[in-house]
Parts: sequence; C-alpha cells; structure tokens
Amino acid sequence: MGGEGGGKLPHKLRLARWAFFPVGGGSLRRATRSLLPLSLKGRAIRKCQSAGRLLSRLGPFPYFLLPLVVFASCVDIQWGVLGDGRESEQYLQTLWQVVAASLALSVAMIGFVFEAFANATRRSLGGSLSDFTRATRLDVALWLGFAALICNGMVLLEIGHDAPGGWAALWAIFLSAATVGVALPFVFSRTVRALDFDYLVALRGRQIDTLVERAMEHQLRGQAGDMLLVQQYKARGVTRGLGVDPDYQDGIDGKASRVLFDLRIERLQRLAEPLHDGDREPVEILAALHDPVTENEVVAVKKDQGWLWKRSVEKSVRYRRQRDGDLAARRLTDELEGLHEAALAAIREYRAGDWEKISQIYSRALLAMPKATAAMDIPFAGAVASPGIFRPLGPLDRIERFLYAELVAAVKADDWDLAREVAYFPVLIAQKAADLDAPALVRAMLALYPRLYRETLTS
Amino acid sequence: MTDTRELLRERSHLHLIEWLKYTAMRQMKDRHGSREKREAGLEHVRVASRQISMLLKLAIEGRDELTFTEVFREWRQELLDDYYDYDAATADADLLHAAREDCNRLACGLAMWCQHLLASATTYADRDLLGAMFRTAASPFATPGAVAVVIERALAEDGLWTDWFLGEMSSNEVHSIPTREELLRTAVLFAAKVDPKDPSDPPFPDELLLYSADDLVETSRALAGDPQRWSVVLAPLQVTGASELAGGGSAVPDLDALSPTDDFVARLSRLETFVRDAGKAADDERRTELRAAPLSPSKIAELRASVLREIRPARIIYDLLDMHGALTDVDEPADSAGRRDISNWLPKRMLVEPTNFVGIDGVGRDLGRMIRREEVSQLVAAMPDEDPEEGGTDIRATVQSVVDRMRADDFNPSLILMPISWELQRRLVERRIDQGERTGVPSARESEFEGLFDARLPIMDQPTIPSDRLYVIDLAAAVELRQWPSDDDSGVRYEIESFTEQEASDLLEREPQVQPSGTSVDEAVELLQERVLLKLRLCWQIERANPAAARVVSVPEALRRG
Repeated sequence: MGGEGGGKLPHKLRLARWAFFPVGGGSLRRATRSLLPLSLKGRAIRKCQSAGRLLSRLGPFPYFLLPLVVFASCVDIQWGVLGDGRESEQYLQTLWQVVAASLALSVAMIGFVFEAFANATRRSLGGSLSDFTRATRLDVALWLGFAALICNGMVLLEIGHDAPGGWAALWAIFLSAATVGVALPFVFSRTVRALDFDYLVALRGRQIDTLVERAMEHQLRGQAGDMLLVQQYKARGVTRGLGVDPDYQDGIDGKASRVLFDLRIERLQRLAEPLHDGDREPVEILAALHDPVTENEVVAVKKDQGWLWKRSVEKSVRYRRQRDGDLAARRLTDELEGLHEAALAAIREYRAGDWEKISQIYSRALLAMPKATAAMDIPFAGAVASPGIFRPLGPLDRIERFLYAELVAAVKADDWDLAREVAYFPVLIAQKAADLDAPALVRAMLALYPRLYRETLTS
Repeated sequence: MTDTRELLRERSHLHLIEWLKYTAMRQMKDRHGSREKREAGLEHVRVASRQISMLLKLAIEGRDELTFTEVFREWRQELLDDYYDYDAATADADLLHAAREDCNRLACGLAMWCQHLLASATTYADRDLLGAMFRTAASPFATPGAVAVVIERALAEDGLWTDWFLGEMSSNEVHSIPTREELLRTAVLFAAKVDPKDPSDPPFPDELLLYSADDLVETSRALAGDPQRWSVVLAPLQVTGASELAGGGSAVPDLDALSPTDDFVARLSRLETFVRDAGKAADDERRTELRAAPLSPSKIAELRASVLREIRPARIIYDLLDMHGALTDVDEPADSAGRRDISNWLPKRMLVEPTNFVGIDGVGRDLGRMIRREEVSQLVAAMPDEDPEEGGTDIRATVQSVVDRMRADDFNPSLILMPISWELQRRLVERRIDQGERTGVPSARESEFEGLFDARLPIMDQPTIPSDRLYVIDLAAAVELRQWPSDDDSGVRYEIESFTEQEASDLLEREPQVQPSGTSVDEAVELLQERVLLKLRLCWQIERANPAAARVVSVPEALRRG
C-alpha cells in the first residue's frame, strides 16, 4: 500500500494535513485487488465492458459528433457527382428524403418492438424498457439515422469542406448509406426476432447474467475488504463493525447517493493505533467496499475524540457517485423479485410454458454465480454463497426462497404438469452445479426437496 | 389436489434418490475422472445423504411409515449395492467406505429421532409406528461391533441433530441441548437389540465404557422402568383387539393382553451387568496399557515448549529488577540451599500417543502462575524484618510520608507492593499508567500494574502479599536477583520423570508422603506409574541487599480484603 510521509511532523500538524489535504494513505481497494486478482482474459473483458458502459452513459452524444467530420479538410475529392456541386446537391436532396423515410420506418418498427416487449414484460419476464433498448442496440440505429439527417442538412446548407460536393458530400452519403443499408435492416431483423418470445427470454437471461456477475464481484470484493479489516487491520485499531454503540462510539455520516469506494487504510490505522487499548477498536467501518451508502453513519469512532481527528478519519473514507453498475446487487434483487412474482402468477394461472421460460432465467442466474466466482479462483461455497453477518441475503438465498414459495404454490395449484416441472427444476440445477463444482448450490437445491415433502404433508 | 400432492410427495424423494444414484455416486466412482473429482463426488453423496436424512426425519414426524421404509431402503441400497463394491475394488475404496459410514451415522440419527419421539408418544398406535421406524433405522446395526462404531461416530459428529433439537425449543428460554443423552439412550436401545454376550466385543465404544458407564447403567434402568413404551424397539406390540390400534389407539388396551415385555427387561438387566464388567475390563486394560506405554518424545517436546513459553511472560518481578539494574549473573548458585524446585504431578496420558488429552497449554499457564508466586514470595522474604510502620487512619498520608523520608535518605522508591484490596487500591492509586509513560515499568507490563501513587510511583498488588502490610521499595538498592544459566533463558531447568513399577516402589519407600491418601501401597505404585513428575529447577534467587531501601507499612484492619 505504500508508506505515508510526514511521520516526523508534530501530531496536530499531521492531523491537519490529513484532514484538509487527504492524499495517499494506503488503499483497501488495492489490497483487496491483490487478494482477488483477475485473469488476463478477465481484465480484457473488464476493459471492454468499461468502454461499453462509458459509451452507453454518453447516450446519443457521440453520434451527433459524426456530422462534424464534414469539416475534415485533409481529403480532396473531385470525382463523379462529388466533383460537381450542383449534381451533388440534387443527389443529396433525394437521399435526404430516403433517409428520413427510413428513419420514420425505423421509429415505427422500434415502437412495434417496444409494444412486443411491454406485452412480454406484463406477461412474465420483467425488465425495463431502457435495459431492453440498450441490450438490443436499437437506439444506435436511431442515433445513426438522426446523425445522417443532420449531416445531409449541413451539407445542403453548404457547411463543410467543399460542400455541397467533395468530402462533405461523400461523408453525408456514407452516413446515409449506413442508415439505409445497415441500420434499417438491423432494426427490421431485431423487430422480427423480438416477436419471438424465446429471444426475449434469452435477452433477459443475458441481462441477468451480467447483473449476477457484477453483484458477485462486488460481493466478493466487499467480503475480501471485510476479511482484511477483521483479520489483518484489527490489531492496529481498525475493524469492521455493525452499528454505532452510543455509549462508546460516535458515528460519522456518509454521503447520499454514493458508494464506499475506498479506505485510506494505512492512515486510518495510524489514527486509530494510539487510541487502541486492546478493548474495542477505535475505528469501525460500518459498510463494505462497493456498498451504496446513504447519509447514515458509515464509520463508528471512539467517543469524545477531537474535531480534527474525526475529520481526518472522515477524509480517510473515499466515496464515489453511484453508477448503474454499483447497484448491481440491488437491481438483481429487484429483477429476481419481479421474476418471482411473474412465476407465481404463471403457476396460479396454470401457464406451465411461461413458468418454464422463467425457470430458464433462474437457471442462468443460478449457474452464473459459481461461474463468476470461479473467474476469481474462488469456489462457490460457504460465506461466498451465503454471506455472513455483515450482509443481507445473497442471490442464492433469495432464489432458494423464491423456488420454495413456487413449490408451495405448485402444491396448491393442483396442476399435474406444472407440478412436475417445478419439482424437477432443483435437481436439474443441482446436476449442472455438480459439474461446476459448486457444493453450496447443490446443497441449496437439494434442500428444497425435504421442504417440498413437508409441504405435501401439511398442505 | 390429492393427485398433485401425491405426485410431489413422490417426486420429493425420487429426485433426491435419483440425484444420489446418477450424479453423486457416478461421480464418486468414476474411474476415468481424477481423484479430486471423485472426492467432490463423495462430498455430493454426503450432501444428498444429509438431505435424504432430513426428509426421513420429516417422515418420522409425519408418521409416514410407508415413505420412511421405502426411501430408507432405496437410500441404503444405493450405497451398499454389491455392484459398487466391485467398482470400488478398482477405484477408491476409502471414498465408498466414508460414504457408507456417513450413511450409517445418519441412520443412527434417525433411530435417535424415533426414540426421542417415542419417549413422549401417548398412544399405542403412535408407539407402534415409531417402534417400526426405529427398527428399520436400526436394521444396519445387527452386531455389537457395528453398534459401537456407529455410536462412536455419532457422538463425535452430532451437529446436525443438535440443530434438530434446537428447532424444537422455544426462544427466550434457557434449555439444555439433549443430543448426548438421546444418543446414549439410542446406544442402549441398540445394545438391547443385539443383546451382547462377549465382553471382548462390546456394543459401546471404549470411551463410553470408560467414562460414561454409570450413565449407560442409569439409562438402561430408566428404560427398564417403562417396558411397555420401549419394548417396541424389539418387536411390534401385539394387541388382541386390533381395532383398538386402528381407531387411533387413544383407548388403552388391557396390559395383560400386550406382548410380554419380560424379554426386553431381561435384556436390559443383562446389559447392565455387561456394561459394569466391560467398563471395568476396559478401564483395567487402558491403565495397563498406559503404565507400559513409553513417553512420546514429541509430546514431551510440546509440553516443554509450552511450559517455557508460558513461564517467561509470568516473570514480572524479573523484568522489573532487570529494568532497575538489580540482576547479577553467576555461573552457579552459591550453595545448594539456593536451589529451589517447583514440582507438579501430571497425568501420564498427556504424554503418550495416541492420547485424547487436551490442554497442554493449560499446564504451562498453571506453572507460569506458580513461578510468579515464587518470585513474589522471594521478594517479600527479602524485605526487612523490622516491625511495620503504623498505617494510621490516613494510609495515603502515611505512605506519602514514608516515600518522602526515603527520598530524603537518598533512596529512589520505585515500587509499591501491596496485597489485593479494593479499598486500599482506591486510597492509594491516583490514576492508571498512560501508554508509553515513563514510570520505571516495562512498557509491555503497564497493564499489570494497578496505577500510580504520587504521579510516578507504580503500584502492583499480588495475592501472595500478606494482607496486613504493604512495601515501598527502591528496587535498585533493596534486593538483588542472582541468576545462573537456565533452559532457553527461561529461568528454570525443566525435568520430567516417569516411573516403572520398581522406581515407583523405591520412590514410595523414599518419600512416603507421595502416597495418595486412602490407597494401598500396591494401588499407589500403580497410580504413580500412571503419572509423571514435572520438576522446574529455579535458576535464580532474590536476596536482600540494603534493608534500609525498603519500608514496611501496616495496612489498617478496615482496608484489608475480606
């Protein structure tokens, strides 16, 4: 984690420096990364995902930069219609209308797809429209069409290098061709596919996979941080805690809509160590790395310490604004709950086919968990599968509860075929989990059978 | 509704059995897979067996004998099938053996649960059902040897059943978890079933016979006291009026019409004698083996390391005198009178192998405490013999005056040594020693002092200080600790001695006081062979230097403890 300078400064001066110029001081995040290193492939995938997320956060903005390429003056084109401004203008005028018509058609088709998705959502699959748009990349076709329209308009207004002919016209034609020749067929093919329920199921499955992957990674990194705090840093006065004990501790509040990003752990230890009397640690961290924090207490510190000391502790906790990916665990919970509700409805309404589709998504989510931990060389067992005291239920615990509730509903529904399907599901997952060497998942699935048996005795 | 429920009930165990058969067992005996894979298969077999046992427990509670019998049979069949034996000969027999052992242990737990419910069953029909399920669960244990093995394993690994009992208990109340007692009762019922005759083949593990024979006898007597309830573990009740059972069994049939329970009572009576005899035989055998067993060099080394490790931190007086420069190194003690020993008799079984003794560290800590007491005793013995100065009504003022006078006499008081007394401590201690404060106390020892007097004089209390006096000491001038070479610079030389029959007899002759009271000479000779003598030869002595550098103050009656 690197050392921290200023060791020879007087104590008060050092506190003041830490309180107002909080740089350096070690990193818990880096320490957890060295505990849980990613493979080369994993790192490459991570980089690609980050780039994709960045692009997705920027929305249509990058596409509206495309028309600006008309100002590129490095290319001189003087052949065919591009060499004659008048002919080029006529050509672009016609093309502009074609692009506009294509765009209108695309919008209509996208509207149609949205309707199909909304129907599927109502029926069983859940998920938000924005996720669906992002996953299908339909928005890219729209933004490209708008960019082509703007570009054509600019060139027709003689804005751009050699406009309305030359390079500017070529670029406008290129964008228009991409809209008509690539984006429109893409939208059409996606529309046709989106009418297929199986495609939507696969799409939801992929989304849930990604969520599970992120949620598991955050959970593991958080647990690794907790482990370091409890086992390694405790001796020097910093540990993980559960809450503020008002008799012995003061709380330091977090910041709203942030996640706990990092701890300047070396500095925290230097702050805590002189106050450590072997009884109770002077600094207790109340959240794990990557946990969303609110304005509630995030750190519990020994009571009655000076303002400067407290501020130094406060400044040793680093936050980051919440992003989509940071809320993976919460979103996964919401998604799973949505699926569970849909599954219960399918069982009550005797829609065995729908339940089967939902079970496919459950299956993907369940099997994604051991795969995600295996990517970090950690078996899906023990506290990884069932997080301990510092965390609420893990995704496996939730799905296990949901499945149990669905088994109970199946007993009550009195639908022979559906009951058979629901009862078979856990053993199917257990079988696949055995191949993945995930004993916790096997145990969770097989444990549903004694509970099912009890239900048949009591219902 | 009934059809669906029946279907799901059937599926709940069918899928478990199928998974055990086609996934877990197959993986465990896969000759083409790696050993690691097969071990993972064993883990999966265990997981499946555990869930099957959970389901069977629920079947017992639901009195679903049909499901219980069917599933139990299929489960055992999967694990005991001869076909797998054939396979195991070429694969890993140890894995299959472990899976079967686990299955047996879980079956024992199920039998335990049957008898647990049987203890509170109120109707004859209920007892009959539970008895039938007990007999099914106990069927794998048909010989005394099989019973002994499964009971030993069950006692060693009973966490699952503890959870079962905890599940029955109400919250916010104090309960004792009865797993062990219930397992003992199950063991006695198993034993009554196999009716052992040969003392060399007992149905109980040696540990039970050695240490819990009385519990077994007591359990056996309790069972014999209610044979109508418990005899169903041997055979079903035979009631002349079968309709009484069919009607829910709430009506109590004529006891004379029941099958005789004499056989059950007679078996328990024989078992009681058997346990007594086998227990005594096992104890004799264990003691004979222990007496003949050589001491294990690794255990001796472990004990030595533990003792020397615990002694060093116990020597607080040594650290204080070292800090104040009151140590003198010599090659050997001036005379034999200076040689002092601390002796301790220890059980020999802690130093033989194999052993079930735990707590070698505890021995080290006990000896550490003895060494500390010896240090304080020697320090007190080195104090001046003069009459103590009266503490008076204001002990604080008296001590302050003593300290002032010592300082006026060019002494530098560095320690107040006082008896344990909360009242006295309250009068003398001004405040605790702050971390890192310079008070003439080793920094690692600060927490072992009560605090400071006069802002700079450390106070320590010790239980061996006479309650009627306290000492104000200039450690640098008042005493001197002379030390000579010791083992690992611990301050002691470590010796351990065991005894043959002849050596024990000689020792008794030489030192008759070592004979334990109430024993004959022969018994004492045997007992001495079952113990070892640990001697710590102290390699230091605290001697008086300048008597004027220590003052004694009497502690008023009101401030003494008790």
